Amino acid sequence: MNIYIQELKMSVKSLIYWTFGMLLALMFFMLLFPAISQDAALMNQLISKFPPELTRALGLTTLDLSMALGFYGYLFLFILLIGSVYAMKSGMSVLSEEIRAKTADFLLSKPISRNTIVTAKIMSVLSLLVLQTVFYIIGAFIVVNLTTNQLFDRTTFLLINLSLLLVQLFFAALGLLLSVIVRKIKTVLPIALGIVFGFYVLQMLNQSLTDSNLAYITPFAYFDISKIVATGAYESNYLIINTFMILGFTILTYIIYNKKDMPSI
Amino acid sequence: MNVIEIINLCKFYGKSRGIIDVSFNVEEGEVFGFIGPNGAGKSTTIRTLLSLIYPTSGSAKIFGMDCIKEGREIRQHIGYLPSEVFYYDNMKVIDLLKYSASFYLNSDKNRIYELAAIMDLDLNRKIDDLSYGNKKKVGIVQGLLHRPKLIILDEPTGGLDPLMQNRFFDLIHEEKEKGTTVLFSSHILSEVQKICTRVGIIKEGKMIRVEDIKTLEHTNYKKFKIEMKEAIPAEYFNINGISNLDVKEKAATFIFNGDINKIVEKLYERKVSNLIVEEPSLEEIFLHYYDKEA
Amino acid sequence: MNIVLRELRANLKSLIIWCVSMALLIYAGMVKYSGIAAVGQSANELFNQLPEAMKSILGMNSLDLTSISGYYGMFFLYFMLLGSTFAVMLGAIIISKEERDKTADFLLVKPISRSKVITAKLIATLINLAVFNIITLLASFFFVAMFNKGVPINDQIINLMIALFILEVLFASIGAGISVFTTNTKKATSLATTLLLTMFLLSAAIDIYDKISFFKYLTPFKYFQTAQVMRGSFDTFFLFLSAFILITCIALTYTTFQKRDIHI
Repeated sequence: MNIYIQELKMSVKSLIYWTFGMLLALMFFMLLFPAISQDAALMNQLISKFPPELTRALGLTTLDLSMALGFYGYLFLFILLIGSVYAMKSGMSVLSEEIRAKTADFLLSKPISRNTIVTAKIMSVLSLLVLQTVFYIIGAFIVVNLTTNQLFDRTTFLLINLSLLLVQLFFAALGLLLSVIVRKIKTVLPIALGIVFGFYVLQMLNQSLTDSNLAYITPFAYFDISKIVATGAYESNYLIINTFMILGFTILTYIIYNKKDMPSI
Repeated sequence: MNVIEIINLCKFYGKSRGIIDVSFNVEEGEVFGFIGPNGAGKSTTIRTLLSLIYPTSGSAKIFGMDCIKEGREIRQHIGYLPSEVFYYDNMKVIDLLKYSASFYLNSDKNRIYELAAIMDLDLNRKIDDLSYGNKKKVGIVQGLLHRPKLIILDEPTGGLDPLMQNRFFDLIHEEKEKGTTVLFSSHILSEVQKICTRVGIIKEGKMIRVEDIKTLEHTNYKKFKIEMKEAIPAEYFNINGISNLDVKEKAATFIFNGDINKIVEKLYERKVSNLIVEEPSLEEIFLHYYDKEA
Repeated sequence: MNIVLRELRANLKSLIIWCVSMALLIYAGMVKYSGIAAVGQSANELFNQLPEAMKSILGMNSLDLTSISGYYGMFFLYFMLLGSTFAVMLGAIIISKEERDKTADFLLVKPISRSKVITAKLIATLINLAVFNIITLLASFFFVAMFNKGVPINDQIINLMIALFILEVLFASIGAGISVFTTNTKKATSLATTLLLTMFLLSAAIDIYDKISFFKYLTPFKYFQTAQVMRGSFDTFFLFLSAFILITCIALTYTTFQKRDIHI
């Protein structure tokens, strides 16, 4: 419990910055919504005439950008990218920070098992991400209501936003696993940025290839916003894959961390 | 000639104290001990000399050149061993030493092997895999390989085993014989006593005293251990010049600074069963200083 | 020279990873192209009916997407994002890492001035960026040729690579400028990331809503208009602006690092 609280204390500032940043970005884009919604309505008509191969090849959105929820879903990608970088960074640094700060000897010589340490740290990351999602959803709800007077389906809105947490959990778990595999990570952020961008590129590739198995690899494909908006539900097969991935990464983290040699100071 | 001249050096970190008005000189060819407890300002002074940090006020000169303005030329002739050694983790020891040597004009590759042999250092291991003591050895070799005219040592012996400490002191002694100047910072007084010609004592950021080590050890101070036949009254040794007094029934120990006849006269009044007079260790003298200045 | 070599060696692994990522991105883009090319010329007519703002959102303004050059140009945005991330991180880390790894007390007590240390590190950065760009260029040549059925577009690619290189140098100098003002690498990289993402989102916002185009001076992502660059012409004003920012950041890096205390 002491580790858990210590971790939260150390991360609360960056949590606030990141969440605030996400909301600021959202606010900025949503302010543009009234200006473009008419153009978007026109585009909808045109795109519906496009051959489907083309829409797919371009990764053209089937979201209705003239609707508040459609526009929100479209720019949600940016939020998702920022949130993913945050999650990856948090997951990656929480265990490796001890080695960077040369405090590993301090912590590991305390009468606690490594499993306790990993659990406390994972719980702290989990709490951070849940907190972030909660704050973000509240903030986003306010922002969307401020910038448009259109009515929108709240359940769908919630589903879109909850996918943020689910994708974040994937990246946090992946980050945890990477941080225990690599002996020493010197700077977290560039690696986190690189990996998240990498998965995003995979998603772009996935969008343009028909009949691709790539979708199973990248979490950005697990929660297709346009499908959520259309059906008001997640795709269960991807939800299951996501859960398994997260569990798998986490279990491996425990196993490897237990066997890991700590680099000397 | 003064190799190091420090005049009224001050360094504040924001509002918190680093060092205040530190002034002292180190002469050519001497080994100057720089003594003080943890946090007294030893490292701050040294890092200012190396222009790693810049003074708030005051000035420092090495080889007659300003530490800040002419830092580059000065560092050509300085060997520095920091108190905590950190090097590039993924390098091999030999690569690090060669890298270090590449910065100096008069570097001699053979010197690396010579020093490594003396310090019993394995050149082919990776820095990351070295123990603290072994990293310290890398630091020593790295600090000496370019035959510096001034060696600055910041608590150099931590992590070295006694055998290696001796070899290290032999090395420093050799350098001293060649006329190299040494600034030796430490909180372990016995090792300073072993090698230094003069010492400066720093406490809470202020230089309390600079003294010749012989003056400190011999001229004034004597350590007395006395046992008497009967219990000694607490205020019996209420004499000017006595410090660190410790009276336990029939036994008393103290350090005395002054005319020794005063003690002899005093002892004459009573039956003495045992009397030892010896040179106090630096440690005891410093404790005395710290008490007095506090 | 010794520092330059040392830096090149220390950065080699990360350079390789970034080069490979870039090559993969280019490959991914070209695979995507093959999908569009299959639809043929009619696609272009369809695009042209779209409102300008919408074309911008989709990242396909004023370029002919069915031609390979137009398509490659659309992808340039991602190259800029990747390249500038690499550059800004490189700039933010290369100087500040000596304090992070506590090796500053080793390096800076050597008989070399701090400005020489910075010069060496900046040269190493420049070499890294040059290699990264050459790899991007070669990968572009290769993958474009793989999917290209029409005229080669090597000249246009070269023009874009020049713009990319300038952008990267600019971002590297911004990163270096940030790093000497912050006391540790973590802060430097966080600040650099924030700045980069803000600039990128700003450029995306300008694409969506052109009435806020006066913000374009604030984001280097808008300094190089892809279509214009591909024709081989660079906007003189923005070149000067880039040069101004670059010189300011570099000058600040030198003067600030010269004067500041080293913390380990």
